[in-house]
Amino acid sequence: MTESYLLSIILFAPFVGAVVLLFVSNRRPFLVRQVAVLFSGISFFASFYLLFAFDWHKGGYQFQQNYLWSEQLGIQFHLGVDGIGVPMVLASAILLFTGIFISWHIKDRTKEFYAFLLVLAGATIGVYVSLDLFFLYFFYEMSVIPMYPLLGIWGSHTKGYLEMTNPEGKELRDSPGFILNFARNSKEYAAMKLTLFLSAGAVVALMGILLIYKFSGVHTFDIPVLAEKAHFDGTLAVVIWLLCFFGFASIAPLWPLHSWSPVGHAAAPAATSMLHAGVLMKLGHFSIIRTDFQILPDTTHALMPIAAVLCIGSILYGGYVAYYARDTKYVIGYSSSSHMGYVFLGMAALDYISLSGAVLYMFAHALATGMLFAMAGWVYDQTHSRDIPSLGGLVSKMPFVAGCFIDACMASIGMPGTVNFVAEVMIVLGSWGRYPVQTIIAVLGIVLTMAYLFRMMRGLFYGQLSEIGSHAHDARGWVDRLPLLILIACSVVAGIFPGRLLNVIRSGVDPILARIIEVSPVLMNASQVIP
Amino acid sequence: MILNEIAAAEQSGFPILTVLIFLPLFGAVIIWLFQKDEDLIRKSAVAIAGLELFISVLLLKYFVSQSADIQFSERMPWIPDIGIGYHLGVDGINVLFIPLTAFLTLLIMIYSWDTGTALLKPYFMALLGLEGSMIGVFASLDLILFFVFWELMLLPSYFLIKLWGPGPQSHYAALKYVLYTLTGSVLMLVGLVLLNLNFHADAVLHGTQPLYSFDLVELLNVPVPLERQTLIFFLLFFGFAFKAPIFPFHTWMPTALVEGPIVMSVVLAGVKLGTYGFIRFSLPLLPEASRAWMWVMAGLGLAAIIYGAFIALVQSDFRRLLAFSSISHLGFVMLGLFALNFQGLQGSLLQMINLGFSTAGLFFLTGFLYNRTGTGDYLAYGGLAHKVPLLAAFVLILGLASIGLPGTNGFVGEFLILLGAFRAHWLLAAIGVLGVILGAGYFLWYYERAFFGPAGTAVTKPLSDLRPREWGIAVALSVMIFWIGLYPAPFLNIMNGSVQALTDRLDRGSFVKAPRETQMVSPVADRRLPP
Repeated sequence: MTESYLLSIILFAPFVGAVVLLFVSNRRPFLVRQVAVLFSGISFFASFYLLFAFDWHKGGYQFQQNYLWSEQLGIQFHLGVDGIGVPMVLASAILLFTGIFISWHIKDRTKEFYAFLLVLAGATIGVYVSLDLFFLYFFYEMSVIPMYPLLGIWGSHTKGYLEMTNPEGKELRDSPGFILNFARNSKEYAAMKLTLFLSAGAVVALMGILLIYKFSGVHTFDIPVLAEKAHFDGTLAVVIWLLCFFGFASIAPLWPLHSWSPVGHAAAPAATSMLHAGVLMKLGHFSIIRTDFQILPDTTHALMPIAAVLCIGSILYGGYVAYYARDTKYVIGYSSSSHMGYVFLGMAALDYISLSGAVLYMFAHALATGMLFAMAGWVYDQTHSRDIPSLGGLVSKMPFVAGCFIDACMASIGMPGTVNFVAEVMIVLGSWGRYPVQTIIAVLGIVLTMAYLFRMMRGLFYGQLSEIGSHAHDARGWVDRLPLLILIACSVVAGIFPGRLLNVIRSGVDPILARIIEVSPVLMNASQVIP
Repeated sequence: MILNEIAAAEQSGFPILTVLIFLPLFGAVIIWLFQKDEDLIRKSAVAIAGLELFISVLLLKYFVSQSADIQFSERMPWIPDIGIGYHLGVDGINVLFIPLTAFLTLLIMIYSWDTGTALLKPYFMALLGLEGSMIGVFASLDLILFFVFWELMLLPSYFLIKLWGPGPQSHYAALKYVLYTLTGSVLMLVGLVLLNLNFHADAVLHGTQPLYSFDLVELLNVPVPLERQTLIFFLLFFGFAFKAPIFPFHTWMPTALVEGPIVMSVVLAGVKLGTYGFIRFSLPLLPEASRAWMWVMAGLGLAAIIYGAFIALVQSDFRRLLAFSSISHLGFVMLGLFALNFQGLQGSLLQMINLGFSTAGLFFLTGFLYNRTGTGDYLAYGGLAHKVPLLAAFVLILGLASIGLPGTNGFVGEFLILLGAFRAHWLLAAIGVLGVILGAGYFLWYYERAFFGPAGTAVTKPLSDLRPREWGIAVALSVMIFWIGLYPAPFLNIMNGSVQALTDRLDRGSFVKAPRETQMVSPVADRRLPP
């Protein structure tokens, strides 16, 4: 019987945790952390239970809960997950739980930090479990809001901004020039830019959602009902599709709508970057699947080549900038935006294998980029610098972190043995039929990834030990090591035994794609699957 | 090419190939758990490598010669959704590489006994990891499993070159090596995926299971359409050519061999992974394309022979000379492979093994010289034969083997290759012979300048001759050289069956095979979902 409330437990545990934190004094930081660990732990273990309790033979939406919220407006509080939601819920819960430990040493306004972090993750999970467009949008918007204080209060300025003086030594930070001056921004600017960009995107998507609601003729926001009954034609369908696509693609971030993302990642504290790059960006892909793929299958078939063209911009531009970036978090931020191009390629190919690969890649990338941001955060905490040229030789000070960093680079490159590799192979396998050129560019993007990640690794950990790194120390206690070990373990175990995860994903992808391309999934054959 | 399989359980009683792959990998983990007792680390590394060699000799002992069957086969599904399996097995083509790898690794461990310096633990871990992944490359019959080990190799290689390379540019050399290889491998990955897609199209057409497969044995049953073969052939070619390296993709090789540590040079020059890829995958899977591009490939081989030899003539550094001689020898291997007849293939296969003893052995001897004199430059040498007569004698033996003196293994290999080339076209053999002459030229000229004549600047102080451990390495290599040179029959017998099967397939083409019940019903149309 508890199973029917499973999603509520996963979803509301972080919110309840945030509320409980309000009643804990900031003078007892250890208690604050314990509360945060407790409530994120509930989500963490419950979402693992979700993965194993999900019946992929049956497929469809499971663990549904449906409460009428407003009859006049046709809004229901409808929770449920399909095979696409499950891995994303799992990734969110993993990143939240590890993020709590990553930010263990935050001293400034600990209580508020954890409360915002819990709300951020809770809202993200909310999007992944909502089967109602209204609540999907509600949680989507809600996830953007905590980013503003998280960046603005606990974030960090870029080095360029701190050094911004004219030749006479006069500070130029408040001159209007810095707004256009790339990579020299304050954390406040980053917070503002991120929130404005994402809110603008959200409003565009909201228009699409409202058009769906108005013209569907079924007077509901319920996604399964809309997917089944609503039908759109001609210009209206195209307009709705474009609104939803570009609205949600701005958070994904699809080139050329990506510019908020590296700025935001760089300014954010480590745990926020992890959640943000790991799961928040995937809200875009996920919402596109929920709206465009499910409600407008025919239009998706016609218009998805747009994504196939733009994803090349993501992959190449992101990779190119990442190679020349000097700031560790800019490198990882651009790398994330580059890797999201693979997800768009996998989605654009409209193939069972490649779409499953795209979903798996979202999960895989969440773990890999989470690790990278966690480690970049550790280096920043220890040295107070993110500037690659002024760092170096840290391997002697932090061998454990360096080892984990190498592992994270490997995962990010898609080295065999990590789940990223499986996802990459699937995307390549599925995309070739429709987009051979893009596929070739995508695999060469892997080489680019290796180039910039190895360059960063060398700059941070090898060479001459720099002055600012002389007091750095390794991740010593279990509090510091546990999150890294969890992320690595998840990535490797899922990479070597991806069977269950893949079956779950296929059970979600197949019915959606079958409506778009009208070729049945030939693979779902009981004899083929690992028991 | 219908290949029978004999399961490992019938032949050896235990999964011998799995043990061979994972023994070094687990050995690396065990060494990691040790404390900083350097002696224990050294001893256990040598013990693990020795045990590995023992098991790989057992493999040869149980191996049935003159057979084309795949032996010691192990087969399990891994990711059945996209047809990835865990399939290991050896036949006449790959069985010899496994003992060769184990043999060289053991010598490397012995060599590193007193030359290994700082960071002993990660050093031996990297070596064992390298050994395990190389044996995995040779034993894999599943294309993705092959790719997994192929990529895993990069990680220990990168760190071996970067951290233990004596050269000032070892960072650069390591990154160059990894990026070049990775560029090739990702293109190769696309080629592997295309083979799978071709299999998939065939399976859907005939309504057979499984729908996807990366299994070499299954892929061999599905001919690739002629217009597709060229594309796949070149995608695979990039992967193998960058790794081998084949002229003109060789530029990383001299850098890596000179900047990297001796042990890495031994591995890169001794274990011919790239050309192995051609004979294992390209030739049997794409016989028509191999025949169509035979002249281009053989031409590249000839170009490499001449180019490598000429550049080697003017080198003053012994390791650089060996690097270019290695490129020249790889030209011979390519020439033999793309003669596409029995003698050529057999000669190439034998030559790949031979180079593991002669060229790799010369790198060991260079290491001995380098340890004594601190330089590899002939300008500083001169008169070495007086100071270190034994060492000079072994350099001569190995050098003469590498230029193919009758009685040594190099002669058998080069003779067979030239015979094969002559059968393909007299011109190929006529140009190829030039390589033999130039080879004698660059080696003997260098030898004369470095080992005879007046003593050079680096030879003024007294030098010790071979120590027992070094003596053991040199003798072990020489024994193998004379064994293959004087009595090659056992080695050729091992290869015969498989090489004959491969030749048959190349002659007949991939389209001629046992008729198969063809169902001309289009399953794709039948499997459409109801609207």
